[in-house]
Amino acid sequence: MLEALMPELVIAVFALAVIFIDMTLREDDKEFLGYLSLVGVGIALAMVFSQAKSLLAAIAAKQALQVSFFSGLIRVDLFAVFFKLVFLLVALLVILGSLDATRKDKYKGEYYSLILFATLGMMFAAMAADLVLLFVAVELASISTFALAAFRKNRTGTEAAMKYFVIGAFSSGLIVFGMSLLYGLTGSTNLYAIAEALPKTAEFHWVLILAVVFLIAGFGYKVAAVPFHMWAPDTYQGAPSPVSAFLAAASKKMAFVALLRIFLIALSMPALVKEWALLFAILAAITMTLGNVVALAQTNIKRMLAYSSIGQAGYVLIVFALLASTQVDLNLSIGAGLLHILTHAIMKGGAFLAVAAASYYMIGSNLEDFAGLGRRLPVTALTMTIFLLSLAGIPFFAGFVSKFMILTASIAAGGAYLILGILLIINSVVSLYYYARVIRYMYFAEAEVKREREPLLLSVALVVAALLVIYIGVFPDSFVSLSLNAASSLFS
Amino acid sequence: MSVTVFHYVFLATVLFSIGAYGLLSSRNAVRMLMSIELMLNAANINLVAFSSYLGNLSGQAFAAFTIAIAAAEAGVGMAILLALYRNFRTVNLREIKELRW
Repeated sequence: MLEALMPELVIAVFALAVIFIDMTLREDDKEFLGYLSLVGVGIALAMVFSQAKSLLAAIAAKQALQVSFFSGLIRVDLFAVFFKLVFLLVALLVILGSLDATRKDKYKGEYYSLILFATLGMMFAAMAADLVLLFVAVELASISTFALAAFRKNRTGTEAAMKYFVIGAFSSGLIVFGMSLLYGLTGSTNLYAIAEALPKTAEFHWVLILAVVFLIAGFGYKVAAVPFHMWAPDTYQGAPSPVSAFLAAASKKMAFVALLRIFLIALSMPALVKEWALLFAILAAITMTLGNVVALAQTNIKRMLAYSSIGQAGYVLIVFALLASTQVDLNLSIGAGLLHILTHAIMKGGAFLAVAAASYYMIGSNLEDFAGLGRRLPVTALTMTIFLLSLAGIPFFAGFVSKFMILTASIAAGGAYLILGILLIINSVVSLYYYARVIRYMYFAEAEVKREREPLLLSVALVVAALLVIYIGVFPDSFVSLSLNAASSLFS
Repeated sequence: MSVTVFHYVFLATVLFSIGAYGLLSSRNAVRMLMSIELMLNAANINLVAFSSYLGNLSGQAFAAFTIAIAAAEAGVGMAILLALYRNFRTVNLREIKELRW
């Protein structure tokens, strides 16, 4: 039992160690804390990697697929391990980038320990099989990221953090109210017990619908789906770039974990699926369309990436809508969503880190500021190009594989669900325009610039992310089968 | 007339609505923090009422966690509010607009 929780234990110990050692260090020595957290995340990542390997071996041998303990509070299955890999990978890249990007900032100890605590919350959210643990874990991650967004204490940062905090707290209120209704209906907080008790609550169907609406709205704020998205551009623009990377690549994915667990397990009663799938279909359609169309008008790159991230969240929401179809391939649909969550985490995290690399040389995040970046910071510009092409869904990059999988799933679901697939294609074409605009500015705009030495660790983080994007794009097989297995482990 | 679980749920719903209305209508950050507390506490009333009605304790445990989280959230919220006030000399979010396009 304890082996299954070792990665979390490591992260918790390192988070506490960072904040305690911080008190004993002089201001100049605080670089060390970044390396310490890097080691912690590295160890945890290696442990989760071996967990994933042994779970895959168990699946191949058709043995027990998951461990659950603390009377069903925690469930370690391949689905949870998959998300833990995503969160730890993002945390690793963000910490690596932060070593350079926050070199001139104060409060390094707080910064790194907050990142580790947020990662810890996300990892527990991935394993939660109980509403209480899910809520506590989501809040641990959210509250840590509220503070992270404000960590520079400048004008834009605090405004971004205040908006993020107000919306985040509002969404927590919605979520916990929805959860309380669900508990009142079924008498349990365990997701699997709720799923069993739901069919007996037909008398109070309207309360159930109310709970579903509260949960969709609450988590809709956290994933920034369209009617609930207004905080995201402001927050991503105002927060320091590594924090924006963390928010877009990890924090948002945690909300998807919670949505998947709650809706696919607790609220999976067939009569109910029809009702919430329609809501998700509408959300997905307007989220991807509005996100991509508004991104066209943006002149600030961080703001544009925020809107593109809203659009990409819409692509993942398609998966929820497909579940009501009679011919849906359950594993394919959910696996497609999982793979897109993984690829989007890497490419969007990478793109924000590239902006962080630029701002290391006081290059702003407006489009004109990036003019001539291809000659000034060649590695940053090249990796940024890779991330942007991948986000647009160009073949041989990771984004293409996962988008293609979502498209395949929507074709398999057939009928009216094809509309969502067509919208996905149209939106990808639209998005290519604004991604290509950044690339054009970086390589073809006239600018008087000279080559600069790029920050080493930040470049390493960028190159690692870019190589992963290309690797997933060229050899997708193992990642596709990993996400399919993770999807099927949710139900076994 | 005896007090049933419905009365508690009704009270919680009213409290939640007041909180949501306060949050959406006011632009004063302090008042928004207070509204958030109302919303979280409405959920707590729900949880405790359901817990006593159903005769199992997990609702009360959930409420205890929610209270702790609400306190942590208020703490971080106040800290952000202070940092905001030092930068802008106001807590009225309508007057704070660095991030617009």
